[in-house]
Amino acid sequence: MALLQRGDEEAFNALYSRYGQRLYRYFYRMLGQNKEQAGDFTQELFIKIIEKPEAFDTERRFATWFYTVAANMVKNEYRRQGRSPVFQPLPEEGLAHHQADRLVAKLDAPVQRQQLEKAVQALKPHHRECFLLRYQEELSIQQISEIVNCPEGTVKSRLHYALRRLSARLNALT
Amino acid sequence: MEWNTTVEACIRSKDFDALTEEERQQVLACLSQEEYEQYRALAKAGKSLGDSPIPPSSIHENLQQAFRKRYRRRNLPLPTIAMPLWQAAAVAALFLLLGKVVTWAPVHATPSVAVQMRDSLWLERVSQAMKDTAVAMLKPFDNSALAPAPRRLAFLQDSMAHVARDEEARGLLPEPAVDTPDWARRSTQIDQAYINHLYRIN
Repeated sequence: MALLQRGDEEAFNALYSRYGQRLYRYFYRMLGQNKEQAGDFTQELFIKIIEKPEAFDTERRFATWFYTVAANMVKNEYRRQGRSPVFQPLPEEGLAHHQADRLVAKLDAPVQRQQLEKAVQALKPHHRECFLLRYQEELSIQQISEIVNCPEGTVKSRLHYALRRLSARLNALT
Repeated sequence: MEWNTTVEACIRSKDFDALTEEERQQVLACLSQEEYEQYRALAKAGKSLGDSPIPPSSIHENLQQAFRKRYRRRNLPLPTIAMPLWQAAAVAALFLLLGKVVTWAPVHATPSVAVQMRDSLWLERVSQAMKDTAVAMLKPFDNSALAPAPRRLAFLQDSMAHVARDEEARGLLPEPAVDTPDWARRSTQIDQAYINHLYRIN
């Protein structure tokens, strides 16, 4: 970031290659799989960094700060829309725990991947956010708690809930 | 059912079979093996979600353009100092005030002239009435060198007589400038006759 603040284009390119795709995927899944909007949001966030690099709090880890800004943008978008993106209610838990073998075996297949995408979209936004940050972006619980501004216990609880709902949803589909 | 950090970390990183006995006990305290394996599969699948979609290349191109536009001026290899606007304004105001207070015009003083000979050098020193300023001019001293013109000589003699009178009246020689080199210092009483003699022999 220090190099970027001095106008080093190579530093900017390195930053983009490290976070550009990750951020785009995050926005894509948090904004209802809308590629155009995901692109706009990704661009907007990087423009913020270009225009005001001094806004970066050097006391914090960059990834944490970056995803915090991204998460706030998503929340603002939800607020602007006046509602959370449409998500389908999931069946209650307890649907066929015995189908674990089938789930494990089929999740790698492209069709199952599509079902997983749908199931993730069906999660409530705050559960989806924690799931994506933890398992897609591989951030730590502590980082996620900073990003979503919740205690670590709440993050763990949301993760548990998300996994349980996804599991139930996928088992219902298979 | 307790969903603690260990259980979550295990789900993220280890298959059920790879768990240690202690971890397995903790996991089984809150989940069945089937549930663990389901969650483990989801965690792995979640990681694979990161493979797609790929952002369009136009985003990067647009951002590069924006970056170049923003930093075009700053790419000059000049050292820059970032400071708040109010500080820059304060520094500018300080310089303006200094410009008003400090006089940049040269200091004029009527010089007095001394001539001294050292070895093979003529030393014609123009010393100002102010003790701490002095200008020295060197001239080659050989047979081809011309003595000062009569009017110049008269001026020098008159000046030296004037200086000598003043110094005599005060009872001491003017202090040489502290930065005057030793060879240019006037360390003895100026001998007017000696000076005249020097001019005459040239």
